[in-house]
Amino acid sequence: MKKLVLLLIATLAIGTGVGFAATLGIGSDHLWAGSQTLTKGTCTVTGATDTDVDEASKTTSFGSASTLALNPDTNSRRWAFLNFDLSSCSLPATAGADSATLSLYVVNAPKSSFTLTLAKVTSAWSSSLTWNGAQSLSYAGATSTATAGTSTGVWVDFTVTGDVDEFIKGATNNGWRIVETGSTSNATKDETDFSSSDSATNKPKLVINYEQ
Amino acid sequence: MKALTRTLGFALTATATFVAFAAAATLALGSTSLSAGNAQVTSCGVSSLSSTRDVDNSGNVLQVNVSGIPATCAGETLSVTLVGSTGSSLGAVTTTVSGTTATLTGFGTVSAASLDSYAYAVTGA
Repeated sequence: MKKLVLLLIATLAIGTGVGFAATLGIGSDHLWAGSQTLTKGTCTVTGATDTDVDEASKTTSFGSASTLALNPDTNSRRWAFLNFDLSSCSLPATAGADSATLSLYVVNAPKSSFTLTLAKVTSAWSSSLTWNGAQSLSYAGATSTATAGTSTGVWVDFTVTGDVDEFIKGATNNGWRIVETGSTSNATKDETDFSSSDSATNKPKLVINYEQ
Repeated sequence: MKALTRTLGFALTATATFVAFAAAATLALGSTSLSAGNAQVTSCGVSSLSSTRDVDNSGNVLQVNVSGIPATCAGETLSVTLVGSTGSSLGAVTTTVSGTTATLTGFGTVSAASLDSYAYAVTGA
């Protein structure tokens, strides 16, 4: 019995010591442990600097139009540009995006589904941008894609978490370009239109779930 | 029976002693030094650490960037654990400190949205 009790003692003692040592490094000469708690929040930015450009009107600016048009047709392509000002979120550079979604409201659906591709613009532009001006801009690889179906009055969402995380941390924010990449048929003569920031309602929005 | 009672008493006392030492080690985490028995354990000078994390477009953690590491901690071991809302570990990575900042990768697929805190340990000889 005595041996059994001593064995129990030894087991408990060794077990306890090893458990804490594994966690805390008790066996070391130097030891420090601590933690950092994160705060979560949501910020919605409604409205942006936005415009679209038209290959068929290479020198025309559409910056004050109430819609953003996208068209895949050869020689009539239209691209949309958006840049959200994140300063209203007042996030420090040490914060980060857990998720970020850019949403556009469809006011004129395509006749057939569009595949839309969003990519960061890596050079500066303004709402007076034209097709010719857009040709001299530089663009990153695709961030995400979304599908514009044939329904009007719905929101189309793009996931932009990685890009927004970089913007929060101080990367230059020149916004995004959206193009239609699923079709280049000249015969389609198809187009989809989204509400722009100059629209009275359903402006483009960027919802950021963040931590800091 | 008397002998057995004495033995059990000794057992409880000894166990309590071991637990007490372990508990002391646990409670001194926020201190700059820690002692247990005859040995004294000190920090390499860390008082706090701060991290940011980078994510991919799916919101998963790509890397953790730790700052605020004292230069005197060079060569020591830094462990960073990503902790979820229930206090559970979502992933942990250990590296050897070689500067005042450290970049840690390889946490696996961890959603930043599920990350509630970072837990740190700096140990060294």
